Amino acid sequence: MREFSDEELERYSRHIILEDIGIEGQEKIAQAKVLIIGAGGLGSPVALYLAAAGIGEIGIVDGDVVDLSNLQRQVIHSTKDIGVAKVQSAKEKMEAINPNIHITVYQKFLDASNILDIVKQYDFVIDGTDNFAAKFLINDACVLANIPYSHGGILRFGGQTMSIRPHESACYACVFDAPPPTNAVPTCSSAGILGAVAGMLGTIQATEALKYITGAGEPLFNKLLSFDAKSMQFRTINFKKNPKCRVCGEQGITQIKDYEAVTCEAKL
Amino acid sequence: MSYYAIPPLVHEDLKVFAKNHEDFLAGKLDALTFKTMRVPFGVYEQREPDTYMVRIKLGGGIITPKQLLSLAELAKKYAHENLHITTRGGVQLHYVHIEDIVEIIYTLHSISLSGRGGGGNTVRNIMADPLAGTACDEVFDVSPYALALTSKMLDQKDSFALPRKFKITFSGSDEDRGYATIHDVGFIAKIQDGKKGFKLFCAGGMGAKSNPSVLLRDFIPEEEVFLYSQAIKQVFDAHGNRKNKHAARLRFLMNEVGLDAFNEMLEAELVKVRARDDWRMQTQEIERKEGDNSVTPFSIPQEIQQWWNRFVYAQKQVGLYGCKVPVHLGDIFYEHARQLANALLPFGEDVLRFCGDQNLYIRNLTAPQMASLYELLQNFSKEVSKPTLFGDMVACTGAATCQLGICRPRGAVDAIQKRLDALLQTRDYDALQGFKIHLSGCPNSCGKHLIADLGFFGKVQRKDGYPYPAYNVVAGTKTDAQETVFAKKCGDVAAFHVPAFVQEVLDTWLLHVRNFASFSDWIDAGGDAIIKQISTKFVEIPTIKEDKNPYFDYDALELFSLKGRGAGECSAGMYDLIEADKKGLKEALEEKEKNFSLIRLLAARMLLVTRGEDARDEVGVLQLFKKHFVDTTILNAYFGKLLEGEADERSLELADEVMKLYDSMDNTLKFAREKELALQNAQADAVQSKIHFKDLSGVACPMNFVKTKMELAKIASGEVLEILLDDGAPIDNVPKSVSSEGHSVQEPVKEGKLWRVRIVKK
Repeated sequence: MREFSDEELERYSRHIILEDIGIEGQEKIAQAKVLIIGAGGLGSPVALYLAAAGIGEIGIVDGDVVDLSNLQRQVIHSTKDIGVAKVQSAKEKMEAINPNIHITVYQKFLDASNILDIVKQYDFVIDGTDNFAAKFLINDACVLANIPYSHGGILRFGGQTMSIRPHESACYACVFDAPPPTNAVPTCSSAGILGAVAGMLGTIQATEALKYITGAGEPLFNKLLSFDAKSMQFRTINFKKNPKCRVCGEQGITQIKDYEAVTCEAKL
Repeated sequence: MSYYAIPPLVHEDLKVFAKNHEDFLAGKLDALTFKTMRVPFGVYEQREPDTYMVRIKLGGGIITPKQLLSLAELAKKYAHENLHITTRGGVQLHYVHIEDIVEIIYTLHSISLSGRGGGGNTVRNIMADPLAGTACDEVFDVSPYALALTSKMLDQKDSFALPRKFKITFSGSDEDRGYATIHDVGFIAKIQDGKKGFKLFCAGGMGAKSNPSVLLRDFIPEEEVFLYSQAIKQVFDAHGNRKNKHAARLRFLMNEVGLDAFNEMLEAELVKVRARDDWRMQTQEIERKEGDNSVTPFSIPQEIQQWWNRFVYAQKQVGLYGCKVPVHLGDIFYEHARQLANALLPFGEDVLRFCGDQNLYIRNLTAPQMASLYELLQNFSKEVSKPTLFGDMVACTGAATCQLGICRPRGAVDAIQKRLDALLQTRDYDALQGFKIHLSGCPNSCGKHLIADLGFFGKVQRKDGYPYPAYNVVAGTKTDAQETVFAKKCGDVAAFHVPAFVQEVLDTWLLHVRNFASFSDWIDAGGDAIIKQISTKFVEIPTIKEDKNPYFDYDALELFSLKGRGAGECSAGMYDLIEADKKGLKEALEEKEKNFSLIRLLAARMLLVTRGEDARDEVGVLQLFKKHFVDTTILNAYFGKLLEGEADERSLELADEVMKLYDSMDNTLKFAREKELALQNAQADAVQSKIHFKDLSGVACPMNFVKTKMELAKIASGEVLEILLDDGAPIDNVPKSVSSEGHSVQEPVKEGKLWRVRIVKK
């Protein structure tokens, strides 16, 4: 049993008071290791909330630097950070919120050559990326390494998310199989995004991570949650694991490979 | 300065105590909670309900005439007219009313006296050689150290919540009149390379597992007295046994871990104490005046010559004298205290000491001054006009008031004194100057029998089924820095015969006293065998039909019995009783013609004392045996059947079974089977019996709930957590919240302004 200091007890008091979390839950949070892939529109709220929650070990991956056009939605970065590596900018904000946690930064983009080694070190992964190639790569890596993760995607006024426990619940490929053909869907640069929508979905992903870690409630396993912020309609679609899934099915993947990247000029 | 300083901490504590006292009187605080507050202030309830006593610290037994005067006033105004000198050289006021205690304590503080740490598991009154500062053989005066250490210890919060009591003393020379070699911490003055300091003794004591101290350091410089005392206390605080109060004193820790490990712990604590800026102890010399040699030599008046020879001694300061005043059982009538205080006032501050032998010592007087006190001192006790032997007798209160007591040693002392008093014309008891007779009512050493020339401790004997009070005899102690030896066993005597036995031992010793340097030398040279031989004449008593008197203890109105005595606490007396029945049983089993009825009776009775029971007739014995050994399933039901009706050959099986049971008994009087049962029960309630505690007073919502959850997280399901909560929002919310999470919350109990809430973890 970990003995929390008075400072920690006070800091996390609103968690501890929750019957479903309590001391035991907070201890799990303190012992958890979470990897956030992408320090952009989704990664910003996720990183802020998970740092505040006291996740003991947070890894954050992004190869980019902060750009003026990011600041409309990537709330972890400030105007003074323009030109600074996103992971560095994020780390500073997270440490300012909570000095009790440890943060590892990976200033790089993930590909088939490095993703497995990084993902393996964590208990839970957050997909905060902005393109299909990365999302499928993350799904492949998490399935191979058997690490649960939260998928998230946003566009214009809408967003979608699901949580995946590899080999037990439906994976991203069970639902979407493979990336759409190039140019079949609008990319962010051509479609735009309401900044606050990124916050909505990111906080849902952070919540999913905390639910999984503490065992409170039921994560969005086998469920795809999507919403339209214009009508504020939320809906949940139930899925099942596909036994013939290209990635996690009986004949699933055994090796990791890169998907063809659809580069996006403006990152989410 | 002849008194210790009361640190601000104690004044602060008193303010809190006064508030609690007010609440208690107003019925807002329950008696039990109040008890936990008053005991550390030295306020105890007496055996009579609603009567209290206040125990007051006198560091080194040092008391000024002014203080004595105030104490006499307090005794008159609030107490039972007597001041009582304690066995640690402190003082007690008896029969005080609970309403008055705060006023009494304020008055005490105004004369720089405190009861803080007088009782409970605290640093007890710090003692010193009663002759400190005056003895010809002393290395230097240890009084200032006793005073300074008293002040320092009062100023440490950890002095008041130790695993058990913690006793410190100082001796000025290797004669060890302060008993440094049988204390938790004992200092004996020593000068090394021209520097003052002490030999440090540690972890000694009497009582269960009596042990002389270990010489911990051959020399520590004087300024390290507090450093070592505090560090040893911290070792005790951190590692002492808090679970079993019968094995809690420091000597048990020393025995358990050994000297090397103890020293390691001590070194670690020394480092911590040295890190504080206050570890060096400052002392203030007590001012000494020189004796007055200018007057013509003083010739001692004829009529006080005998008293002078017995009790007055010449101090190391030429022309000054000290004197011991025997006080009967330590009680001083307030009027006598007042007279003495007034008589001593003109002579200075350092003229008086109280001592752990419950006597008082006068000092620093010129011969004429001393002689002028003669009349007044006659009031203090009849022992003042007797040889020292009389005043040096020590007895604990015994079974008259103590739950553990087997015998009544105070009555025995009176009987011994009466018998010897009648012999004063024919015996030269002055030749036995300093001879010490000590009696304890049980094997616990409250009567200090282990440091007596002739000592007694209570036991039970039986004749024809009737128990009678008796004593183990011990003899020949030696206390000094070279070697402390406790008095050793030299036979048993019936309580009834103790006076006659003492008379004969003294008569025998009077024949030898001129040939030996000390009584203990005589014991070592064969005196022990002689005493054993004498004791055999005094152990047997007539049957109850011939004479009932030996079956009554002194001052007792009922036939002697062990019923109701604390079983398992005073076990040494029990063993004698068991052995007696065992011997009888063995003899009965060896007879050709077996007396089944006797065998069954002895077998059933043999172990009853281990349950604190004592039955006189067969029916009672068999009933109690069934209750304690069959109904509890220690023995199976088959044995229950053969207790019924006439005894037959199956009694042999019972005898066999009881013998086996006895073999499986450990030294806490528990049987193997009983321990199995206890273990089974324990596994069932182990978790339940464990109570954890967290004081959350002063912690606001919701942090009190958060901290409650933290404490609950640390314990296992079924275990109990007690918390203290503030009144108002905390008590309104926290129990509800805890309860809503599924834990079982018992009805909160008000304790002063706080609430105690007991939670059983789900």
